[in-house]
Amino acid sequence: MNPIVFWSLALTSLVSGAFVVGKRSPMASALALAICLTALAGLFAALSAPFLFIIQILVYTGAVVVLIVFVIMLLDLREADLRAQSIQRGKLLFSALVCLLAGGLMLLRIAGARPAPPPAAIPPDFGTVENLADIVFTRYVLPFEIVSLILLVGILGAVVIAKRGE
Amino acid sequence: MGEITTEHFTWLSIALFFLGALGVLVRRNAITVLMCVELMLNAVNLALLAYARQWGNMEGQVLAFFVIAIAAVEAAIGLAIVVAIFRLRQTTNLDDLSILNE
Repeated sequence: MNPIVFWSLALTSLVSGAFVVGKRSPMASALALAICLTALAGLFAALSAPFLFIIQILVYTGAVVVLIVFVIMLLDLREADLRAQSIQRGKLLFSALVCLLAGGLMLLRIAGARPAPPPAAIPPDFGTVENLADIVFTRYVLPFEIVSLILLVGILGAVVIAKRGE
Repeated sequence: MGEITTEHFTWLSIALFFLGALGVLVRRNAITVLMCVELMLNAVNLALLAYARQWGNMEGQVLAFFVIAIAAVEAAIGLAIVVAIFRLRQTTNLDDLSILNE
């Protein structure tokens, strides 16, 4: 894979990810999230996952981010409400320390592992719709059905929860 | 900048995951916290795809596919709960929602 493509996409996702976490206004966070997810979709395509690249753009930037933006506009948050949510410095420092420590431990574990062998030869149809469907509809057909059931329950649940109670 | 290997993707995945975790820990707006959870889920997907490619094994991609489906449900339900709470309390601040520990 082209290093320039990787580093530019990685930098885009990290910077916009930082904006998601750091921006005070939820709307700015949501737009940064859209950029971050699109950059990640580019990385998915680079990892020979063309189907998941499309799904990422359709489901995440197309549906989830739009849903989030809809809810933000629906709620009409007041400026005072947002000001009360500013971050205390001590809490930020402690949380950053915990995250850095946990991330550092993970990195240490990876750095200490044996060097990974070069990637196995990738068949030309790796990650295509046919290839994925072959596995999803044979070995993973039961999990697939369970996921469809969860989706159905999720749709009903979202309607029931968000419905105005009498 | 040498060759890009699976390790590079793992580093990026770890960085994004803990960036999202930091957001979940410090942000008090329910919607922002949900967005940070989405960020964490996507970081995990990146690692899954990187290792699926490393081993030439499609099962990582299948798992990432299921993760995306469940994440969509999680976002829908989570936002529905935020809307329901906002209707009751006129707030999305998680610190105002502490009925269970009072």
